Amino acid sequence: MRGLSAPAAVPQTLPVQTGIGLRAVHHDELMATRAPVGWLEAHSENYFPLGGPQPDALERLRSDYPIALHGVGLSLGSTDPLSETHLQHLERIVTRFEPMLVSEHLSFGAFGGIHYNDLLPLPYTEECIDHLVSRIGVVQDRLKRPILVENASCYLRYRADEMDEVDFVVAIARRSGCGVLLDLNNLYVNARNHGLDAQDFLVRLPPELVGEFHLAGHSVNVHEGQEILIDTHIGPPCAAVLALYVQALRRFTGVPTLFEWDADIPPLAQLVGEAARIDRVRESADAGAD
Amino acid sequence: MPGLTELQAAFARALAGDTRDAASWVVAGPIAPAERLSIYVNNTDAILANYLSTAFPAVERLGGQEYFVGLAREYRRLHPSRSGNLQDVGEGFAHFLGTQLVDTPFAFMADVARLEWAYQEALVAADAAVFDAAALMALPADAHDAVTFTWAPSVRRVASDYPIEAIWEANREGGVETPNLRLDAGGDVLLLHRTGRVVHVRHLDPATDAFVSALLNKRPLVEAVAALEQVDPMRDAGALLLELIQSGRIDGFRPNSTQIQT
Repeated sequence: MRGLSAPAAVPQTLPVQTGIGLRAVHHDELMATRAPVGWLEAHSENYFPLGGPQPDALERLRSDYPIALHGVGLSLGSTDPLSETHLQHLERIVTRFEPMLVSEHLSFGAFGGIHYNDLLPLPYTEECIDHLVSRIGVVQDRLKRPILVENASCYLRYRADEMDEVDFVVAIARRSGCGVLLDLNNLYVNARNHGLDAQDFLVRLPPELVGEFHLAGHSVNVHEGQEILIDTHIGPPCAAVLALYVQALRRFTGVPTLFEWDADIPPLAQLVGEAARIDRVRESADAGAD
Repeated sequence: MPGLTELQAAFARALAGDTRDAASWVVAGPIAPAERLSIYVNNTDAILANYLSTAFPAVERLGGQEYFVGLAREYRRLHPSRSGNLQDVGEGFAHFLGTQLVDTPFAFMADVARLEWAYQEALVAADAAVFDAAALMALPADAHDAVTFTWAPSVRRVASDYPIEAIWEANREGGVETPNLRLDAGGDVLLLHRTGRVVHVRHLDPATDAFVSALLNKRPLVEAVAALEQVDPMRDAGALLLELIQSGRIDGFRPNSTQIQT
């Protein structure tokens, strides 16, 4: 087990100005206008193709913007073997595009060779920590760099849980040497869905572990007369998530922020406007802290 | 309590419709475990349907959204994804659609799906190599007959008894509608390839198709020329070959089928 010092390197070289999730529908406009956002985060799998518009666009855009890669399909938590093909693709694009950060999710997405192409919830158990630490180690060795892992949203909890989410996340980061991609919308969604204290999570998460913030919108569904928040990545972050963001900014300094909008994707101008609004929230928080 | 493998196996069964084990291991609360699991069932269905919708927009428009969502659900049940990369998931969809629509008036939709998948494959294929014309020119004239050619990784041939290009154009986003389109208007043989970021779709007449098909099947040039002349003795094989090379569809050659590639 590694010591309690900061991971060898949660790279914090991205600008503080809010970045946006890169979606194909915005490629051409971003290239043409160099819209004023701090950086771009691309879903790794979208850039696996060997040729064509996707990798071509990222190749061009990375000369104008710092880039991060964010994976959704590696299935870190699955008990299936890690896909060698997937790892090879990831290794290839990390080498090619030289992202500032590489991140994955604390979830599983496959079992018995079948992929669900979703971020499915893991139990917060020592066995699962051991499993994730081992797999994150494999990925970091292959990529020759530390990665960040994102706290996942979830709509159920397991009776097998042996700890709460923050202890789970911290143990994984401490033992694997990875950093934490703190998704504040996921934190809020989980807090609301499971009656937890999001602020307690923030307080117990060591500042040196956090390498990136995610902000996004969610939807509210009703099941059996009860509200449940679904991490749909539609729309801007709600006021409560922005309030959590302000609290996070006070605790975790110099951490880059990424705004994601993945469904019913709006025009680029709207996305840029929302990123600017997040910048103003951050600047106000900075001013308030002075 | 179940171990990690057992828990994931139960979750997988829940996603296939059997929630019994997984539900017993989920914390009960104001919302029942089975109901919570159903959120993931719905999400995984929606994720796949959304992806297939982007890859097969014309099929979705032809069948209607409700039918398409049902198709996607059935496709996932019969042909579950084997890749963590969603872009791989549509590979068997056209074949699946063919089995669903066989002997129905809508069988043409499977061919439209084959065209849409060929388009997707062309879009993500590796770039073509640069054809070494000087090396071809350096071959002695009597070696030309035995030459075989390699094709750009994006090249796909799609043949159908239906006018699938017009159907596709009329039903894909940004496509051009063909007035009075009839299913019995005759079939299409199409050759797709990509240059830069753009996928080109070219109609092949029967003579050109005979030539292209022979070369796609790695037959030597002399056989491809014979196939062309059998359909149209007046066609200029040299001009056709030059066009296939200059357009980037053919990107390499082998002096003959038994020698090492140049």
